[in-house]
Formats: sequence, structure tokens, C-alpha cells
Amino acid sequence: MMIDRIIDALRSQREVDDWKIIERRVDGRELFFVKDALDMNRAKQTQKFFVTVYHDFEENGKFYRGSSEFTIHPGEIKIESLIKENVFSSKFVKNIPYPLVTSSEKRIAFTKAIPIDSINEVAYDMYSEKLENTWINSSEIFMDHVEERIVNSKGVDVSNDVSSLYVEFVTTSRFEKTEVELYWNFKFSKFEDKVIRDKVVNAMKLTKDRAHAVSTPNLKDIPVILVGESVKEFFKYHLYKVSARYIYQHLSNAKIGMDLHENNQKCDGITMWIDPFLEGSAYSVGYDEDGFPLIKIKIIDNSSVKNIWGDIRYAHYLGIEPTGHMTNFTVEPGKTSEDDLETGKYVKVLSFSDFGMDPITGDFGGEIRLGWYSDGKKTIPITGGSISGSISDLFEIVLSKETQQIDNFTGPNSLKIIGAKISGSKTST
Amino acid sequence: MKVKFSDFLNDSTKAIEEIVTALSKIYGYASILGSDTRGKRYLVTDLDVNIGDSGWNERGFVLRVFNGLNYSEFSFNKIDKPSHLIDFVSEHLMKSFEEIKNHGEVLKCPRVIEEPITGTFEGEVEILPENVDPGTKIEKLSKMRDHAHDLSKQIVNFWSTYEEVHVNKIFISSRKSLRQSYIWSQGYLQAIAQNKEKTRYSYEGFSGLKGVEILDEMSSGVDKVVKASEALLDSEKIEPGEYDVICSPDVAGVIAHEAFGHGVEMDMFVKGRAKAIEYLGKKVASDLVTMHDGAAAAKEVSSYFFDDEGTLATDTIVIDHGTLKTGISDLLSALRLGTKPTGNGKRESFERKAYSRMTNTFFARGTDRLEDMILSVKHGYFLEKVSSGMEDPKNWGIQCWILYGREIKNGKITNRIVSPILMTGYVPELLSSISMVSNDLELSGIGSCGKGHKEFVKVSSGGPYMKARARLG
Repeated sequence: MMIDRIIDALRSQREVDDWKIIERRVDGRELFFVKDALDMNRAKQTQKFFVTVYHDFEENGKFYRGSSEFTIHPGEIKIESLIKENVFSSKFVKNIPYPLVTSSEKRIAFTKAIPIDSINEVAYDMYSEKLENTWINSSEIFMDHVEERIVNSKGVDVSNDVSSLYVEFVTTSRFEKTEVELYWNFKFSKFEDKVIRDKVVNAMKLTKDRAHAVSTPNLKDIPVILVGESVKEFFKYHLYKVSARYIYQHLSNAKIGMDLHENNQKCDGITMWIDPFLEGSAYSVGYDEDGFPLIKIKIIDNSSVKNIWGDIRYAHYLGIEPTGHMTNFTVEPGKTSEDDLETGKYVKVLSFSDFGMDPITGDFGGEIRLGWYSDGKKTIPITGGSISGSISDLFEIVLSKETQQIDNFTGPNSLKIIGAKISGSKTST
Repeated sequence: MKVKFSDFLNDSTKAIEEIVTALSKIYGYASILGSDTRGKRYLVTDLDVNIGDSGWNERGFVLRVFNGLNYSEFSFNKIDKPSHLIDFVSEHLMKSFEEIKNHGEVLKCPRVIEEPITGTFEGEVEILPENVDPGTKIEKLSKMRDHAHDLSKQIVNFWSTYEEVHVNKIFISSRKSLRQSYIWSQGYLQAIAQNKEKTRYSYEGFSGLKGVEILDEMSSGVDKVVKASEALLDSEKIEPGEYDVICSPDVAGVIAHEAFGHGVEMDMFVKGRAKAIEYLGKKVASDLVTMHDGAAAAKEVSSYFFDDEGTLATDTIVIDHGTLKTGISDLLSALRLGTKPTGNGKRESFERKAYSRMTNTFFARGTDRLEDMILSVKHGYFLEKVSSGMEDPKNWGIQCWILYGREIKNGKITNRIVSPILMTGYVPELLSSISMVSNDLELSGIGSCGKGHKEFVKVSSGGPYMKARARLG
């Protein structure tokens, strides 16, 4: 096996003090549609070896751990010279020494592989739903089976086995002579036909709403309700704020016990977990890329920093226990129903062009593709204009008690914020 | 110095030709794109150093066959026996295609008819990456970091990144045999400034069809990025509204890219997703606006000799003095639309599908002087540094995150800075408002471009300084 050849070559090099290999095999199928007609079908089979060599050295009385990362492809005949080249590079990398993960207990894979040849079934389900004057303009469906093996010089030899279904689609709706569209995507580790059909129906309904939308008026001092994907993006501020890498790199000043919302007048307590075993997430794995065994951990409790999360290297630098690197995160829901959030005047945004949160500064915003404006008496669909703000400038943050799952996130379905700015649009798009 | 072609692709050529010949006999058309892109990324911060592979590295192949109605593809990175690949195509790809064909509709596409062409294209750089050892590269990056700290006590971290990428590609079909080898590089400086209340950052980027020589260019950007990040600590939030703006070349570039670059990708014409198709030959911008896209239109990171479908690079004039002339196209979209492909068929890597994608997208220079442009603004902002953008080809909305704007009052730049800025609007309205265009032209290729939220490819964009009326929030 190729991985054994690489291991033998690494062991034979005197200057390699430690090493790590991630072997990744991907078997994938892909379908592309324009309306309901097949545009192209594709398949993919790849294998790669991501190798890191570590070299420890002393210079002027200081100890360093150098490293260099490189990829070995199948059939590579120059393995030894690639290793030598990267050991040479590692001698210029003067990092504070850090440990590797030592032997981890083996776990049984907890995700059930989706048979990738069932991809055609996904397409049939997607196109089974109909709505007047509204249709799927185009779609792309990807099914991957990823097998990952992580081996290092300290005895780690563990595996992750992940299946994923990724769907991207655009829905179009026509009202009189005008057509509008909205963009959607989702990623799961399982295939449930009802979930797919529900997503398509919801997308078509919202696109129909956009076809009737008017330009966003200029509005001041009105609460904003974020829904869906933008809620997940909003919480990335909290997630990165308590990351060991951000703290070590001076991108965050978070400390255990710090109240992340002490400057906000009124804020629902935010409680956040990182969770490697989130059901349905295509990012659920037993081990991180260092081979560290992952467990669910509470990182923020009632807006107070409970635990800093990070991989073995950055945790070591901060002198804390490593949690491993994870991408799944959950936020506990609030106590207010969405009906109660939607009282009085508000702007509720269901779709942005691309809502963004800067986790370093806390600045956020995006262009409105579809929203609802309520003047306290009636609600109308709106489009165009933008929402922008900064976490530190918000007077109020309220979480809905209804929940949602988007890919690697579970949490409140809606979030009401007061203190964001709304820029209206002059021309209807 | 001449860039040397990949040994790996040279060694694989015979097997590729064998597979293409066998598949062409069965399916009537077959092609294989082989990629061997390799490079390194060097990062120096205050607290660590990293040497790793470039994120653009790839090595593998993608084969395309005509299945009788349209095309099927297989991406792989291992050639054991050509017969295994040929069997996989019939047993998996064709089986899946036949099942869908029997269940529903297939979007037809004519068979590719090619003119015979062969050629080898090699780029040149001043200093080849393999001629400078990693220690020298790290040392230069470290000096930039140390200089930044000499300049300011408010800098709490400084990142200097250098990335060198050697692209090798081979395209083989029954009538084409093309190979290309070139190098591009990019550098990125990021200064993180902090006071008791705030953390703010700014960046400077460098890119081009260059080798290690780009490291010397980068040194000149340290002062500017440090000053900008310090100034941002005193920045304010902008009051949402419509303003006169002067766009720096990178902001002009993102407008070109988001406003009309994505809007004229012709696979969007096939899908009925592009409003632009209704406006071909019509006015969409001020007379001062001329916009190009093309791998042969400029020398930047997205300049190549042939695209990922074996079409030679071109220079497309998308907008000519305010009139929309044409789109940019991949091969299969052109076949469906009955147009000529423009050499814009690009893949994220051999593992992904080819789409109509931008290359080097920019507004042409005008005749105004920047000083006169600033003098003409009563109250507005000088916009600098793009963070991100998003397209809306169907409804012509535009969203651009801009890092900061310097206030202009009565024709002078004041000390007041606003940050960040979200520029939104309706594309024809924004482009029609362009009233002055400077006699400069700068392109930058430090970012990447996605289609929707994936399929990232290397592009550059830019233009001159431009005066416009924009909605900022």
C-alpha cells in the first residue's frame, strides 16, 4: 500500500523527528440540471496523502519545532526527495515546540454511508414538487463518500468515514412580465426525501414572495429579525471569539468568565456548544485532522465564556486542555416565540445576497434579497437595500424558541436585533 | 527565465493519448485535461511561521465524453490501466446517464467539432521559485513584519504571506494536443491594530505572472498597511445613504466583476438566469464605460494560453462605451447558444465541472486626472480595499463589502474614515452614474471568485479610478 511506502520513507529519514499523514479517498457522483433536464453527469475518484514533517532544533539557546506540509499523489515516484525537500524547509520554521496527539482509542464510525449511486433518487425527489409560476431554474447535486485515515509517529492510527449530500439550486418565479430568483444550498450526511421536498417547497414559496416584493423603504430605528442562514453566520462571531487560535493570534481578547455581551443593554443569554456528533451534519467526525478524539463541549454559558476551544497546538500555546478542532456548533434556543418577535414595526429578512459577519470586529451585514416589512399594521415583501451593524452597537438581541438545523449548525430559527442600520433601495430590482 | 513543463504530465501523455483514442472510437468525442499545479505558501506572523502547499495545488485528470445527447465526465488521479477507466465510464457514468434519460429530460448539446491544433506554451518570470531557498523567503517576510512593528506600537500582529504557484496543464482530444506551463505569485500583508476598545485591520495585496521577485514589491506596502490599520482604530460608521464616490482601482474592479462579469457568464444565458441577454446591443452604462474580460486581455494571475476545455484565450470587450456587446463563454454553452467560445471555460480543479468563468476583468482607462475627480466631489467618499462581493445576474443587484472610505468634503480628503462599507445597488443605475474615469489602470489578483458559494477559481480585476453615485450602508 502506498501509505506504507510513505511511512517507511519518513521513518528512514534521520532528520524527521515526527510526522503525520492524512490519507483521503473520495468517491463521488454529481448531477447538473437546467430546469428539469439533465445538463451533465459526473463521477470522481481521488486519493491523496497530506503529509506533515516535523523537525526539532535549537538555535541560540532556544528550542524550536519546525514543520512543512505537502501532498503526495498516487503514483508519486519521488517520495524520498519530497520528504528531504520539506525537511529542509522545516529548518526555517521557528515555532515554539508543541506536542502531537498520542495514541487515541479507536472508535466505530457513527455515520451510515449514503450509497452514492442513489443520487438519481435525490433528483427525482427535488423535481416532484410544483408551484404555479414558480420553478427550479437549475440545480447541482453532489454525493460524496469520504474515507479518511490519520496516522502519526506517536502511534495514532484512526479513521473517519463521512458521507455527504450537497445540493445547490436556484428557484425562479414570474409575476406579470418580471422574473426573480433566489439561491439555495444545503449539505447533509443523510438522504431524507421529505426533507429535500420541504426545502424545495419552501424555496419556491419564498421566491414567489420575492416576485411581489417592493423596494425596501428608508427606515430608521426599526428592529431587524434575521431568519435561517444569517442566524448561523451571526453566531460565528461568538464561535471564533472563543477559539484558541484567535486568542493566540490577538484576534480575540476573550477570557474564561468574560461576558461577551456586557456592552449590550438587553441580550438573551447565549449558550453555545461545539458538537462533533451533530446528527445529520456532513461535518460530524470522531477525530480532528491531528487524530484528536472529539467530544461535545460547552464553550459559552449564558453569554459567559466557559471553555476555549482549539486544536492541540494552539491549546498548548495557551496552556489549556485541547478540545480538538471542530466545525459543528449549536446555540440553545431562546424563550420567545417567533410570533412574539414579530410585533410592532420590524424588518424580517429571509434571504440575503450574502450575509457576512466579521468575527474579528463584530461588524455584519448584507444586501436584502427578500424581507418582510411591518409598519405595525400590515406586512409587505421587500427587496433591495441592506442591513448593517456591529455586535457592540446592538441594544437588544432576542433568540426565538423555534429551532433550525443548517448544515453544521443547530440553533434558534430567528434572531431579533435592535441597533442595526437599514439602508433602503431607490430602484426596484 | 523560462518555466519548465511538468515531468509528471510528460510521463502521462502516452497513457492519456491511448485513453482518448479508445474513448473517441466508442463515443465520437473524448478529451482529457491533465493538471499538475504545484506551489508553496509561506506565512510569517508575530507568533508563528508556516510552510505548506499552496491552496491551488492539484494533480489529476478529467475526461469528457459525448454520450449521444450531451456530455459526461470523470475526474481521477490514478491511471492504473487505461482499460479500467474505459470500463468505469461505461459501467458507472453511462449507466447513471441512461437511467436519468429513461426517467426524464436531457438537455441536448451538439457534438464538439474541433479545428486541429497543437502547441506548447511556456511562461517566463524573473526569478524561478526553485532558485531561492525557503530560508531567504521566510527572512524577507520576517523583515516586513519587523518593520511594521518598528512603525507602530498599536500593531498587535502582522501577517506577511507569499504564495508561488506553478501551473502545468495538458489538453488532449482527437484533434487537439495543447500544453502550457506558467507561474503566478501573490503576496498579502495584513496589519492588526488594537487599542483598548477596538481591533481593526487592513491589508495590501500583490499579484502577477511573477516569481520570487514579488517579495521585493511587497516590502513597499508595509508603511501603507500599518498607517491604514492605525487610522481604522478611529474610524466611524457611515450614515446609510447615497453618496458621490471615487472608487480606487480595486473597488472599480469588484464592480466590474460583480456587476457585469458574473452577469455575462454565458452558462447563465443557457439557464435563463442572466438579465444581460435582454440587453445585448443596448445601453447599460455611461458612455465612459468600456469593460474587458479575457485571459489574453491582460497579464495577471488569470492569464493563460488555453482554458480547461482546450479553447485558446481571447480578449472580450463586454461593454463598449456603455453598450453591452457580448458575454464570455465556455465551450458547451457556446455550442448550445450557437456562439463562439471565448476561452472562459474554467474549473476549480480537475475534480470539478467547467463553467463560464471570468479571467482578468477590468474597466478600460479614461482621460480624467484623479486630482480633478477628488476636487469635483462636494461631499462623498474615496473607497479603498475590497473585502468581498456577491453577484445577482438575474435581478442585477450588487453587494460589495469595502474595508474603508475616506471622507471627501469640498474637493478635499479629510481625516475622517468610515468602516466597513456595504455598497449595494441596481447595476445599470450604478454604471450609468459613472461620470469621471481616470487615466490609470491597475489590476489585482489576490482573491478568488466563486460561482454561487463554491467553485473557486483564480481571477484578477481592476480598472482606473472612477467617480460614481452609490448607495452606501
